[in-house]
Amino acid sequence: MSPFLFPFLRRSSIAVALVSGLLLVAWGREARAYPQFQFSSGTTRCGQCHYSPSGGTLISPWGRDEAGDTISLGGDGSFLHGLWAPPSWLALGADIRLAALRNDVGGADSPELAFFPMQADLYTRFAYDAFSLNVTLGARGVVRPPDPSLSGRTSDVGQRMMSREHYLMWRPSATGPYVRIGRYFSPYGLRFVEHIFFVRANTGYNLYEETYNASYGYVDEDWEVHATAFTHVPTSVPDFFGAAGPAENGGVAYGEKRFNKMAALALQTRIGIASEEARYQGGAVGKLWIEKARLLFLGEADFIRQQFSKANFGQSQFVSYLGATYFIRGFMLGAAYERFQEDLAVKGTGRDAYDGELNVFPWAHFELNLLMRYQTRATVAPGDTPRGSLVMLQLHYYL
Amino acid sequence: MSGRLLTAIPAACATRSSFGLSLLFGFLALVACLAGCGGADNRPAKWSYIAPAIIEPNCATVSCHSAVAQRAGVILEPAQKAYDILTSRHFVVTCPTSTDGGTTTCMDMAVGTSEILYLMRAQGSQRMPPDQALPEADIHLIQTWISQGAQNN
Repeated sequence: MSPFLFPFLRRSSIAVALVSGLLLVAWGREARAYPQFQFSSGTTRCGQCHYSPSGGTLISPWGRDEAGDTISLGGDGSFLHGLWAPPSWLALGADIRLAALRNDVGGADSPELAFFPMQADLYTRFAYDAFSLNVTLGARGVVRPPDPSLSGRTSDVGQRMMSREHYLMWRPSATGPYVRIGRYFSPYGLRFVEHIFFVRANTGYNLYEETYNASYGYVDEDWEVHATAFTHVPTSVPDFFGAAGPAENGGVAYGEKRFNKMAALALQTRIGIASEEARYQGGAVGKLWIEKARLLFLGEADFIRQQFSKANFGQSQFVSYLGATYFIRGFMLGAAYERFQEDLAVKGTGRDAYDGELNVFPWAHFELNLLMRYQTRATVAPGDTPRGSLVMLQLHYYL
Repeated sequence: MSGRLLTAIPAACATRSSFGLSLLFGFLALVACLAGCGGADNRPAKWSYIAPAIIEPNCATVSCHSAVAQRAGVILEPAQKAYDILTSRHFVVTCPTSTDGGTTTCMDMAVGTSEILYLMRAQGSQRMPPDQALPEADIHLIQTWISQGAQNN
């Protein structure tokens, strides 16, 4: 990096940080983890780079170092680019995403073109000894507001403010036992950022579907287990808590065994009971890192049994993801195949998706993401199209 | 870079990763097998199935027709509220039931005038859901329910 460029980038970074702070109150969406970084970045556990033992949201000092030294082409991954370090009892962070998309599903207004603020979340963590209080505050995102102008998007920000994560955690060390109570996504599946992926959207982990949980887990270098009891966010509470998804109560278990710092196999199960619906699901997650080829394979498959008590009917579903990602420092290139079979007993209820993704990390705190998605469905009406496509470009900045 | 990649993949696969790749191929075989699964549609054309199995997971997402977002004033969760809104705003046209299953004229008209079917098939309108079209099997099941009177059953 040229020494003449550095002051400019430093000033630019500060400017971006300030602008991000302003944007933060305007829009929001969601961030989870990048499971692609497991093994490929030299870390074996999600909880190494994140304060959460199962990954996602606020990045730990280790993760910030990795961001600058391993993942990005340069820069300082520290909070505020290293300009100021919060005291040891406090950790802060933020995620800002701006997105542009072209969405083509057929119909009168297709293809749809949109440019929108996708995410603005502020993360705080207060720690005392082995205890910590973690809070995420942001604004619920709106891709298609009635008035897409800037004033239209900002006029109701106050009504869209919400906290999708807030929890207390006891975690005496990076490895070993932990207890967590509050609102967050229970550990399950590959935990992608992209909520549109079938293995997220159809397993109880769609956007803002965080539940209220009590989790116990144990994390070791080569294995980890997480057990969670959960209840849905009551619909009677203010929108600040953003109740979304089925009103289920239930439990989740996830166990992962890692092999030679290059592979992992996980088994998982989830039971969710709602007033007129029950879901019993189980599946497996596999990860395989081939160092010489710089390739990471990720796979997940889940079977879901749904019972609809009032309709006196049951159905079985299958949802899966299989992808490969190629890494070199500063770049991540991935391809994936997804399938969702809505009812295994009914022909014509399947959907497939093919994804291509390019992530560029030119400088710590910055990411450019290009997602291309091609979808098909098994059956269509005469004259309708079975295909759909999405191209989305994201500019991501994290504080 | 690409040359190195092409030589490295087989070398790596042949050594430490054959078991992992076997798992991957097994996974693909499983998916391919399941892709061919399924038979005739025996799902109940009842609102108590359609609402939680099709409408809520596809339409009542947090940014669209959830109770939180209420896009265009339409809330499609829970089932009772969704039914009330869809029928009161004529997205779904209902017919009174009788002992012989309802009046044929009304039910024929209901299928032709229920806006939800046009939206889901993007016939002269934008597509709903706008991010991902439903399989025709699902839309046809909703059409069957409407053709039987669209009762809150």
